[in-house]
Amino acid sequence: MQIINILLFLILGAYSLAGIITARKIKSTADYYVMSEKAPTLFLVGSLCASYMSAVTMGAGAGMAYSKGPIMMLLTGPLGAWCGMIIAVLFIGRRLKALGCYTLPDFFAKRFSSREVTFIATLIMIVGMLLYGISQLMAAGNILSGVTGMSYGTLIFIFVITLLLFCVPAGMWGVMLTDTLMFIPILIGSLVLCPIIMNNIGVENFTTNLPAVLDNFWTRGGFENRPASWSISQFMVWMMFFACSPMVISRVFPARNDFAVIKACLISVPLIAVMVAMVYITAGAMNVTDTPVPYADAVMVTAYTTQIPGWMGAIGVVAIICAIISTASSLFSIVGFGLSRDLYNISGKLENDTEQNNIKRGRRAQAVVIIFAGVIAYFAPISMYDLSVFASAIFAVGWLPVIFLALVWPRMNSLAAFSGMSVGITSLCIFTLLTNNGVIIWPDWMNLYLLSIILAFLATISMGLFFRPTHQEMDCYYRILNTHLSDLMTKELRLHPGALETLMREYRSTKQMAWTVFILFAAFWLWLLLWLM
Amino acid sequence: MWLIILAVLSVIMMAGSVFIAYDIMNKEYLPLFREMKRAQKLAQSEVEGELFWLEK
Repeated sequence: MQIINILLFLILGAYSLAGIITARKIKSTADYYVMSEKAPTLFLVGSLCASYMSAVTMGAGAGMAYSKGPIMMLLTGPLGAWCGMIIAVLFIGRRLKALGCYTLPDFFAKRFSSREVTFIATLIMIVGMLLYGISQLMAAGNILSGVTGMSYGTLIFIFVITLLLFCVPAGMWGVMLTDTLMFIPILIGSLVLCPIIMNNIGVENFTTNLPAVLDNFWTRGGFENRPASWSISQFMVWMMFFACSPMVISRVFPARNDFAVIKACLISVPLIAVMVAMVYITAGAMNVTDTPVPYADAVMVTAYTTQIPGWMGAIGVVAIICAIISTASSLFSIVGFGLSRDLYNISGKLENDTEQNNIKRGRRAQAVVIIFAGVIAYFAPISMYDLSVFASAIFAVGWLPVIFLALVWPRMNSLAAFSGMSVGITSLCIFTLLTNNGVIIWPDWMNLYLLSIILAFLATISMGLFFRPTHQEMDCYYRILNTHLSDLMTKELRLHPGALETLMREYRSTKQMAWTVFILFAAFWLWLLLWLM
Repeated sequence: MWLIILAVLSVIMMAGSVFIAYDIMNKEYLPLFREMKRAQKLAQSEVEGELFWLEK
């Protein structure tokens, strides 16, 4: 058996064991869904980074950096995602946590007095997250079957069993803990192994001595010399994708307190940017090697297995597996929670059920979701990048206008929310069909996602102007306006002696940490520039 | 050239993120600290000041 396979089984076994052991911590619904809001900064950073680093980053994104140019990719997706994550964590996530939401559809149930709105919001979440999760499984099977020597089907089966073992018994505890553990190989794979690969390739070979055929490779427009308007529209799209991504916002709910959220955001966002930069530049550098890359998405697997010694390469492949599995576990847990909590809540039976029944239902839903995704991935291996982008777009067009306006606009009502989500999703589906069939050819400055988001915003605003909100909706709006996460924290701290000192200490340490991260981040870029130029 | 622009943009964005976090903390926590300090001035001792604030 190859060293990669041994490491694969060891790692997956360890994570499954961690999930099973953590299941003992599950005593209540709050434990299962939000870790009883006890997650420290480390768990939040680990989970945010591991969830972001996915098959899209390590597979398809790296493939595009390899075939189209790394700077073109780095100036659009990661920078847009950065802005989106700041909005998702600091503006949306904190407000939703202050309202006491366990899941994102909880917000729709609290904000709008309409079961239809909660139903359509939950449906959007389940479909979107499921598609994204399935695409991760497909990528895992496709990218790794070559290096492990196992068939696509066998790999899907192994991943499904692992996910069942650590997602089902321990809920959010299992997901957050294993995400944090998986973050370690991902960090090594990107920040340690990538510089070694670049060094082995020879920095001067892919920078100063670049072959003439790769002239535009390190420019903003990339190999295809794309115009600036294309870069701007891509930046906007990725910003909107991440601004209301359930994968990001749901990481805020288990946080121990407000300062843990702020610290996690300020650490994970630049750390993700640094990791992605290293992966994409390494992928781009592979162009000057003689090593054949079987297909663009497998560029990082090829880099790890051919440019560094075998044992190091095995760690690199494990980093890719961890990136994929951690994202899939986050996605499937959100879908499971949507099924067991949000859809069930619409029937009005949730409040009358016992804690034990709620946990059992949560576990059953998780199992159903993972098995269902595994079956789909097993029988329908298709292009994962397009599926991932479409799944991300579902939230941007369906949720972003509604959540944003529900937080800032007093006239927002259930009819406006319903029409905004419907128009967004319908236009996305129609534009996707027309684009795929060649009926619409988009200019560089516009694409189907941006237009769908604009239409959804217009539909929401028009219905908001035509219809009045109910008293309940107005009450909720003013409750949002006057509820801050800091209030909840101070209320909790008041119960303990020395509350003032604790609060001020946390405040000061968050500020110090922010400056430290800023200095480290600037130092990283300085080092990279000095090294590559 | 574009690598330098990417680096500069990234550092600017990091500075922006720190600024946003500072702004949130200053808006939400500084008024609270001021109130606490006022309470301490009103009270004769630090312990009494904190008790005054806790009971508000």
